Amino acid sequence: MKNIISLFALALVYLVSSCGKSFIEKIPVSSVTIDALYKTDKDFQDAVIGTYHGLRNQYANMWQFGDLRGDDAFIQVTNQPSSTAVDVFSLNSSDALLRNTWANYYIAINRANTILARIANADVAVVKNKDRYIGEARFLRAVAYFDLVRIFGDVQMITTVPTIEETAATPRTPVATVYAEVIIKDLLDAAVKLPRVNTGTEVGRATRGAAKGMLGKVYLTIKDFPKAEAVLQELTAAPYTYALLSNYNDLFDYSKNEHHSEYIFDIEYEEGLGGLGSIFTNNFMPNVTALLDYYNIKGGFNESLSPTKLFVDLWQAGDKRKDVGVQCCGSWRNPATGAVTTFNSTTSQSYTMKYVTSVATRNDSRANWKVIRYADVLLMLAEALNENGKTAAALVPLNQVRTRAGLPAYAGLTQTETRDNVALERRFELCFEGHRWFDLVRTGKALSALAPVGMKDYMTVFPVPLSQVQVMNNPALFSQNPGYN
Amino acid sequence: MRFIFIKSRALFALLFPILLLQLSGLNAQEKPSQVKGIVTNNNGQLLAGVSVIVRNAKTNFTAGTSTDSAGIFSFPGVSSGGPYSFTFSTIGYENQTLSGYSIKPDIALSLVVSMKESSASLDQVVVVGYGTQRRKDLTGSVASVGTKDIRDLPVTRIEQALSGRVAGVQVKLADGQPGSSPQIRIRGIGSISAGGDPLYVVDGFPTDNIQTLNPNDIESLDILKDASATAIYGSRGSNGVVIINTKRGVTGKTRITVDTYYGQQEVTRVPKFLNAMEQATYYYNSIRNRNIDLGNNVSGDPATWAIRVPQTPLDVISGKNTTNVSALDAVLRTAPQKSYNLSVYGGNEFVKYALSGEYLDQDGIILNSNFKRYSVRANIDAQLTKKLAIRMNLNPSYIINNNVIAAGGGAGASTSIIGSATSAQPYYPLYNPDGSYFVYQTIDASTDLFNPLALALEKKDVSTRTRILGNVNAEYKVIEGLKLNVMLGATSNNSKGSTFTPQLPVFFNTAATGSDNAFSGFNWIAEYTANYTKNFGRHNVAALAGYTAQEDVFDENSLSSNNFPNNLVSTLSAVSEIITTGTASRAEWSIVSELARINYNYDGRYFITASYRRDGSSRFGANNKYGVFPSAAVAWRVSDEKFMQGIPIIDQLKLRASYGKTGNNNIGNYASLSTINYIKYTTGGVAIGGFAPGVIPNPNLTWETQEQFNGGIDIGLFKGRLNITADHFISRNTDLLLNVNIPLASGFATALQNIGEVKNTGWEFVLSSIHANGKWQWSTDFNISAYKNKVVRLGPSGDDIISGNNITRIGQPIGMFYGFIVDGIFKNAAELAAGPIYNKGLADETRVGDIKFKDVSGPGGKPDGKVDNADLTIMGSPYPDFYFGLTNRLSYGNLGFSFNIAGSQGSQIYSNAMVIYRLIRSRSRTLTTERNYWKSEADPGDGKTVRPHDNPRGGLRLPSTRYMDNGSYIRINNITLSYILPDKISRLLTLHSLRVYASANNAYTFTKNLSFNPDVSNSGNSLNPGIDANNYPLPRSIVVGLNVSF
Repeated sequence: MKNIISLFALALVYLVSSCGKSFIEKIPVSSVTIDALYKTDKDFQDAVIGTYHGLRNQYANMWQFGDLRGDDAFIQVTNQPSSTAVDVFSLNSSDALLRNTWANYYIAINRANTILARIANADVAVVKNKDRYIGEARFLRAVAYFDLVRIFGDVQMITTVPTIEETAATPRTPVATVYAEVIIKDLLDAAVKLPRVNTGTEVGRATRGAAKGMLGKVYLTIKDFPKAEAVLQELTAAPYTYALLSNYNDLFDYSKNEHHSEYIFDIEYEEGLGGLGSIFTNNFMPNVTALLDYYNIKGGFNESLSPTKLFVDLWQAGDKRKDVGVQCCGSWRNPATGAVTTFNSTTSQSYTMKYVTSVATRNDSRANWKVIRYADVLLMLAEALNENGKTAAALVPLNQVRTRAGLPAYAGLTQTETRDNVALERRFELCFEGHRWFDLVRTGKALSALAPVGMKDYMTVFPVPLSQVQVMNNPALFSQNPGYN
Repeated sequence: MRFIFIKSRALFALLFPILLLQLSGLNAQEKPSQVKGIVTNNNGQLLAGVSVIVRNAKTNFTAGTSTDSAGIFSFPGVSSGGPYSFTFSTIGYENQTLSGYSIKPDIALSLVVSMKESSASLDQVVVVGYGTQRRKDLTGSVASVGTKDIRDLPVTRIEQALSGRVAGVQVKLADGQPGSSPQIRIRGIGSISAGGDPLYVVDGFPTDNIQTLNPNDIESLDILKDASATAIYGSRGSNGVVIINTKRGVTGKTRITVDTYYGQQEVTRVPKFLNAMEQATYYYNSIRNRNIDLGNNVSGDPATWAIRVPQTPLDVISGKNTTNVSALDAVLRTAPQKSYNLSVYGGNEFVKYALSGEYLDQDGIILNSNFKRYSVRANIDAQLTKKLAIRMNLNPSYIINNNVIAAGGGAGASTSIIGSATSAQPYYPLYNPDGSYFVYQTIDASTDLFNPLALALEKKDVSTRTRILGNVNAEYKVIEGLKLNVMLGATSNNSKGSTFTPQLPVFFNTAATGSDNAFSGFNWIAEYTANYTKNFGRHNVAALAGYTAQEDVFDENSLSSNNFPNNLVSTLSAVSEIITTGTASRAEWSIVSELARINYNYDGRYFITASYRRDGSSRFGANNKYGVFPSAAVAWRVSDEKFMQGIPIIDQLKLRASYGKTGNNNIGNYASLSTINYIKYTTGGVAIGGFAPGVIPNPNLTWETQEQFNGGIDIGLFKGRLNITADHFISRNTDLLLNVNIPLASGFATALQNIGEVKNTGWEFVLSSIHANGKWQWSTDFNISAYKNKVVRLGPSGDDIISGNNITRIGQPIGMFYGFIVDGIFKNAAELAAGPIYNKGLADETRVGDIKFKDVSGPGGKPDGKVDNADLTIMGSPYPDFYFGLTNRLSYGNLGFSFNIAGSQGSQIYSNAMVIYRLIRSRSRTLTTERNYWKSEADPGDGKTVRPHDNPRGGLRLPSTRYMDNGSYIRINNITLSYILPDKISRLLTLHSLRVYASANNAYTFTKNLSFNPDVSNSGNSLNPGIDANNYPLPRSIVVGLNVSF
């Protein structure tokens, strides 16, 4: 019996001794803590990839801000109340779209800020591509802030990794300050630190040209036309080799390489990689089985974006861009068989072909979102030149874009005519690529164009998310945009 | 002759229903020193197989036998002397010990014993943490459920049987999927984000899931409710503890029992929708109203209006299309369920065994859903030496589950079967004329959706689970009163699941997708306890000290692909190794604890209990590794005082009070650390891995703490015929884990902090009475409970937590419904002019015939004639005012009848399903509540029903009371009729006993609820209570069962 007692005692002693403090200290096996990372070159490269991913989520929504809000697009179906509210200017500040947008941009900004904070003291011998990572983080942060101020107006300007308390004490900063302190400085630095070209699996990441192109767009937006002209002009000459594709339709032929001579910066999507594809193809297709079957688009449609009748009627005869830009109205002719399908009355009657490609799984399309491409640069350059009084010079890049579309070149236009024609050319060239609404606001034309569908004068920015007004809970630091209260 | 003898004994026993013993020389011709006797139950029925042990305390003589089929036992030769004691035991009855007998030479001793069925009587043994106590000695609040409460119930999981049985335990039967767990909440809601499920302790082994447990194996469930009872479980005790013990062997004749039932299940309640003609007309008017609002001409042919009416509804209205299909009827079915149990109990004084095997097969009432369980149990008790005893439990089980997705909305690519079936318009068929599935895509008068029949029949989702639970307990008696226990146990838990969705037109031709996932967990425990009991005169002491350690490791992985070449092979073998997503992860937690408890009572009148537990857990942040959880309780048995002896109607009166501190450690395994998330992006046409910070770290993160006070009274009247228990509790939960909303500009939406505080107060009242206890037996158990939940503290600045359509606000219960209050409709222009108006001047501004909301507030807190966010308000409560249960048992001789009712009163539901059912666009089915809608100022319908509209205006889609439903109900949980074959006939058939029964489960629900089930809980998240979302409907089942033992 004694044996048994000692066995018990032994077992207990063993257990107590082996189960000390270390027994209840468990280190994560399937994740690591932040402090173990941001050390090596590879760590920073992975963190940069994480930052691109932050923008990726947001750019799935870009069409709602850039296109649906504008006058060239609308949503005809009535099953998507949030999108309808964007379209007809009745969006509630509690709408999840606004909250998610705010969150997506600040997630990307925080990731960039974390890289910038942790890379500052990194040894270049260890982090060999230090400059490049700084450039990428600043570029992505600038893109995020640029979108934020264009969508919401004044926003919280954060460039460090703040504590919760610091964030809660950060006010909405005037737009001009955000441009001056963050967006322009970031892009200027990125334009120095980023590589000029990427190769191999790095194709698709930010380049010097992307930074300069975005900078041009920023200057144009804040109406600093001389600086816009200067930076955009750089992109038209060596060492840059950007050029328009000879065939406009190739831009939207996804069987071809999307990183062509006209590509400057896209948000990248790819099919068949387990959720890295885009929603655009399914999202914009109308409810027409024959059409979906013909283009081999599986998984359904969302009918979320349709060209307006006004826009369709605006197109000039002979414009080679029309068929890929807009399709209207209410019927479709099968190019192979000639059979005509008439759409149901409750279906979108018009649609764009810009994102049409075969899709095997719903919302897993290979179609990228083009943030900036060379035709955009040329049209911006034309606009800047014209505003700087160089109207004749402005017609050169404008006509480059125009003649590619098979239209006759302009000659002898006045400054006002040029201004109007650049704006019109932007609509034809860049429709459904996320530009129209921002162009309208930038040029002060939004209210006149959109008052008929419900826009009020204060609606050049969206309401800030109600949740943020509530969580900040301090009207002195953070109040709703005027008119939305 | 012998038969008459027995009969007279039985009659004798009947006349004296309490324990009878008789010392007499009934038959002087018998041999000297013989002891014999007869055992009956208190109905006078003879009990066979009762174990009888005789002991002589002086000589240590022990002998055992058991009663024969006539209930008779005998010991042929017992030496004279004494004192002798006799212990009688058998399953389902309380043990009886008769002691103090002397045996005289030549005089036979005859005993007549009447066994009492186990019930919630005072001497009943109650299982408490790490030990047992007599009910009369309890100082805390512990409810017990025994075999008689749960037998005959065709439940797949034992938690279902608790519905309506126990005060203070709210059982929500929210999900009818076979094998799914009901939601159990003990004494209110004490946590906001760390879960509310109680801790389960099966044969001493703490676990969180009892899906694999065979209900037929269960001997008792004891529910520890107050903190003095749960504090011994420390940081896992604050949601209450359910202790489950399984059946064990008894000495005596081997008893083989076959228990089987077969039944049919069908849906009990379905929502009522417009028929095809009504729906088509509704559609027509929704388009018409939209045209009118846009200023379009609606005088001509509807097919030529600016916004055309689709052809299908026009055909229905003109009588050309007479299709009227109910997709819901098509996906629901009458489903069989069957269960087979074989068990063997027996043993001698050295080794006792309980062996059982189970096969359960339950089809679900949605096509293609099924749950099967195979389980085996071996419980062995062995007395190795006089001092050393071991108990061993081994329980392997295997589950196969065919899952279907019921919950969710119906539109688009939703895979919700009920959502799609309640959306599919009645004027479209489910099959095309050629037998293929009808495709709800690109059709004119319906939202696009997956054909619900195809969802049920074509998708595969099968999971299997193997679980082996084993533990062994060695008990060593050091000296009289001191026992050492070592318990070692382990459970291995492996599950595997695979899904496949083929590529079909009916699923919009999306590429076939399949997944394969596996879970493997291992959990072990070592527990050392010492128990000491000693009586010093009138001072009675029981003490416990112990040390325990438990560790859990689990691995998960999942692979999926959409690269299937065709639909022929559904496993990932077919994807040519092109896996599109895959992940694997491992997580661990561990806990070490010291525990102690002392129970003291003086003279059985004054009781004191104190307990202590110290937990260290891997889940706690570095700065807070250990927590201490003490408790104390007192009780006074007033009825045993001298001054009470003159009051004969009171047999027991006890007052109890307790206080204790417990915790909730479900805070995530690594939540205190700043871990990262792995994410990917594509560049250069390939996927590139990356990472990003995942959480804001919190090294102070720790358990949630609950402090609970409980006061109770137990009253027994009329010799045990009426028992009343009442308890009142106040609990304060502090350091509640909150995902505090932080400014998104920080890069994170929320941060996990120990910051919240919630208070629960409640009453529980239990009444059990025995109305008749003769040949007629009738007893009633009634319980009613109420609790009030109040948030005391939230976040650093006390901000509301808004989660979907629930709000958690200081001063209110957790997760109240938040939205707009509907105030009818605008019947005419005059009413519209009075407002309030939604989105004045905007495209969807309110018009006549639209919904009217209450103008709750505006700028400066005053109503402003506008409907906007200022009018958002608390619009209802998901919590009942009270809930109750009633059980009646009635028997006459061998015929038994019982029923159980559960009810809940005063709760409301926010229904995500109703948002679709009552959407006025008519693209999916519309509820009959919308039938009598506003048509014109002259014909406003019933004056409260919104007009149909293709593009709803006036804020109709805003969360409002329009989408709320009634959560009150009275449900007849169970009605059972049973018959026991008379002993005479059983014996002729050489059976020990035979029972047959018929039982109706979830027989009927009285409710004003408009949907499937008023007892909803779509989410286990405390922040989102009372949400309905087309959850799997509850079936009614009618079963017949047979219980035979040999």
